[in-house]
Amino acid sequence: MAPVDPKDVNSLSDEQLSDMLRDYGVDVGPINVATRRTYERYLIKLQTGQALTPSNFEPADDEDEDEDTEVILKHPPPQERFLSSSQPRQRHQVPNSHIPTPTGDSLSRPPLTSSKKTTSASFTPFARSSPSVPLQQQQNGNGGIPGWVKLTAVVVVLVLAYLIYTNMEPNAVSNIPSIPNKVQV
Amino acid sequence: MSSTSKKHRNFVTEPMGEKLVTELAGIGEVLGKRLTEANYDKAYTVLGQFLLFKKEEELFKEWLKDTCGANAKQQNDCCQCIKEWCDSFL
Repeated sequence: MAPVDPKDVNSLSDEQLSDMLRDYGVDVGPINVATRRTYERYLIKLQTGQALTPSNFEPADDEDEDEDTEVILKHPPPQERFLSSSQPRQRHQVPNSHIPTPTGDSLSRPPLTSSKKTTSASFTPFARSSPSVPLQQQQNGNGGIPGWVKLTAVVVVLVLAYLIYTNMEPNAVSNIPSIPNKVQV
Repeated sequence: MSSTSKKHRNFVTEPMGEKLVTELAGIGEVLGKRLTEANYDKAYTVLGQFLLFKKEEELFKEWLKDTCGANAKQQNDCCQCIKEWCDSFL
């Protein structure tokens, strides 16, 4: 069939329009009030090989949001939340770490703060026993004699004893006058 | 798999029921208003149009451009959305 001018498309019957479209390989659906205009435009487009008359509407480019970015955005926030939650934890941990060490240094012996009660309980009997020992032994000093002093004293005594023993004269000379031989009368 | 928008996925994963035409991918506020003024207020009316064109994509896109002035991207997004819905539920 001969190409139809755009003006003549309207004069075509539905059947004719349908037949012309099928010639172009279009699977034509029902031509009714809802579809006719579109089929006419499509036929002209196929015949002229060009885009049809510009639409009567202004382009709505700011339409529909790039929603692909929404999918991407879902990932960082959880990470950000994870990072933000981890930082306060670190901050809380730092002051907590400083607290036990000074208390540990001051007590010197009990390292744990929780064991204060037990160490204090055990400390009192030791405190009671420590003053009683020097009183019984009547030693100089308020607290007890340090261990190294005792050890030195023992060593000194041993050294002296050894020196005395080695320097003892084997031939002892007694000052007791001996009785001469008895004279007979 | 090509990138699909959240709107697209929300539409094609369930029956459209009484969803408005603005719930179609590619159809935003402006295009939705124009379609509504042409009495295509519900998504199933657009579906009906698609089916009348015997699911021919080029015809449907042409209709969409003529009816609400959709650009090429919007035509494509809407057409793919309807087409995928049909593949699952029709």
